[in-house]
Amino acid sequence: MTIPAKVLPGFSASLWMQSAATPTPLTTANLSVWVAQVTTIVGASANGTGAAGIAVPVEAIPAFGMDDAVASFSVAGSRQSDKIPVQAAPTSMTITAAWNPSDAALLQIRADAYSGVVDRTFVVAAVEGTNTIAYAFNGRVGQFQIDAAPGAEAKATFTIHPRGNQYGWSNN
Amino acid sequence: MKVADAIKAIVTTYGDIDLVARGMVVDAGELAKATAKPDTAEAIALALLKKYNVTAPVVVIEEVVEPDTTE
Repeated sequence: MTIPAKVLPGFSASLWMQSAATPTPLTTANLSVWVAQVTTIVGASANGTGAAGIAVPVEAIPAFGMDDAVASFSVAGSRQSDKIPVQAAPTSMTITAAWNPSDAALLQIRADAYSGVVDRTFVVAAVEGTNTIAYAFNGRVGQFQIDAAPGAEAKATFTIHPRGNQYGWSNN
Repeated sequence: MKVADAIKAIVTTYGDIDLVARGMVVDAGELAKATAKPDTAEAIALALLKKYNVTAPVVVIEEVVEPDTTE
């Protein structure tokens, strides 16, 4: 399969994660490997499920990638320095999901949030036809909250904090 | 450092693989012969090693004797 070659609609993206309670996250290099690595989480076919993965029932995938970072300096008498690119921070993803108290993925995320030290591989999979492109990263979960406001369905909100440099792109 | 050892180190790290590869010096001749299957972690590691271990021809710099212009 090839990488999708068109502008993708936002709804084509889905979030997956390793399903084990104490998973071994993929190493940095393997986060860019589709066969036998990322496919164990998202499955080999578009919108499939890997043997060690589970879909997270999110409402929408927030922006992901990296936050811009630059350094600049000033010297007395000078006007402005160049903006020097430095290593950018990975973007924390604040995610909203419809709250089902029995959903296996949300229960696991809640347990991760209370632990705070569980490293897990997450995958954002964008699908076009039979083609999938995957953004895999390792992260920790925090700030798990329930919003049970009357007048709407209950929401679970949590934030995934990616580990630095632990990300990779792959496709089928 | 052996290429196989360098690849193993890159494949198993949870750090910045670019930074790890940058600090590794491997034999250029061994690196030129090394191969890996595509879409594997080994192939990614090998590409990074080749990025930072460019095979360059050996340049011999001879000592230049300045002509004595003083009288």
